[in-house]
Amino acid sequence: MAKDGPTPLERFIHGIIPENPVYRQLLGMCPTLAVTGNMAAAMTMSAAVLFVMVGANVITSLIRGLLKPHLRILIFTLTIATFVTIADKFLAAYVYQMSKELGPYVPLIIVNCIIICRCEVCASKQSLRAAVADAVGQSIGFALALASIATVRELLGSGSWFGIELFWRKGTPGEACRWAIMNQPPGAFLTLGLLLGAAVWIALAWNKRTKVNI
Amino acid sequence: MKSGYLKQAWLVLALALCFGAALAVVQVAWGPKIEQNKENDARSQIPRLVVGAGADLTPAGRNVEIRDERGLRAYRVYRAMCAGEGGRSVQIGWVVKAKGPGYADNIELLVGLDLKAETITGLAVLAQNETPGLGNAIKAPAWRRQFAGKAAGGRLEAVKGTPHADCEIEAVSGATISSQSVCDIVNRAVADFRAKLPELRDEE
Repeated sequence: MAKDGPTPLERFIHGIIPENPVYRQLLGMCPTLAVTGNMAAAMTMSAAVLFVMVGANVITSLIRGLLKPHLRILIFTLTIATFVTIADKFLAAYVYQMSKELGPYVPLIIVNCIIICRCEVCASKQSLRAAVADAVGQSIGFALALASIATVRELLGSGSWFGIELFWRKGTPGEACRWAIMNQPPGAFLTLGLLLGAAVWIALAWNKRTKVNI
Repeated sequence: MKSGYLKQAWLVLALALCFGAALAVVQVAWGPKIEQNKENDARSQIPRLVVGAGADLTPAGRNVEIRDERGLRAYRVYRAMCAGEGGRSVQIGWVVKAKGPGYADNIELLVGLDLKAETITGLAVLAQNETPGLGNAIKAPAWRRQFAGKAAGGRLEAVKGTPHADCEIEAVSGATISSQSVCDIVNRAVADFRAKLPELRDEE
């Protein structure tokens, strides 16, 4: 176990681009594919993940001295499940329609690997400040990734962004010019695949130019 | 040995107690609000269940709990009201809220019936956790529309392929169990409701 590990600032920055949960770590694929049909759903999911990740990282970091190696995963899961249940109830109480739309994917945050990964990699080994910075950074990275996919899918699939009809779409008749597959599961796979390819291509080009590996 | 277990697991137990208490507080604080949201959602479906969408209907009236002989099943019943002559509202149908096991989790339905409970007028899905992409197609309006106009006395069956008899519903392909579950829930709810209908009518 490294004594210090990366500083809080490094943890924060790493989460956003260099170790982006979706594009670099390929974790949390279930919500990435399932709730990116429109921006509102993707951002609600990101907010829920932010809440759960900060909560789980804070608790894990506070009790890190007491963790027993063979019981740690159990404790992570227990902590995560508690915060997910709180998030789920909150959505059902205050944004009921969105909670219905997200359906089982909010409870499924419990098995979102990003969160348990951050508890294991960072929060169970580092100080509270590093753990919070890490959770916020990773959540922003996750939100950006979801936003990128949801933007493509909502623009092409529904011709809107956050449910607002875009100006060049106004007056276009009905469903005719919309690319329905983008609203459906195959659209999620296509978009993720193409954006992932683009992300890797950009990273490789960057590495070549700067001779610094990211 | 026992103290050994406690020494290992005290943190898990302590956390479980703390988290349990926290969740209890959350439930007390938000539980009623969530129930109210569900209730409002159910009520907003009623106009579409009893006659066509956009109908001049107010979901009013008393809720009635129905229990069958064994006292096991309770349904919430809505009277579907319609503005009649002279501003008086007239009942034109019933809506029964029913719940039963699906493929993955309980499915909650609203079944619309005509005034004599002889014909099913519509079906809405309030809650379901069926397989995304397969079973959750039971929410699709086109699939639910099959139920409208079915005789309430019969037993509905989900069949693969094109239905041939009146009591048959075309199952969602790849989700026969989810489709049959919906039929079973509807069948049981309608049968239970029809058994209690005379009592409900007497209360008017």
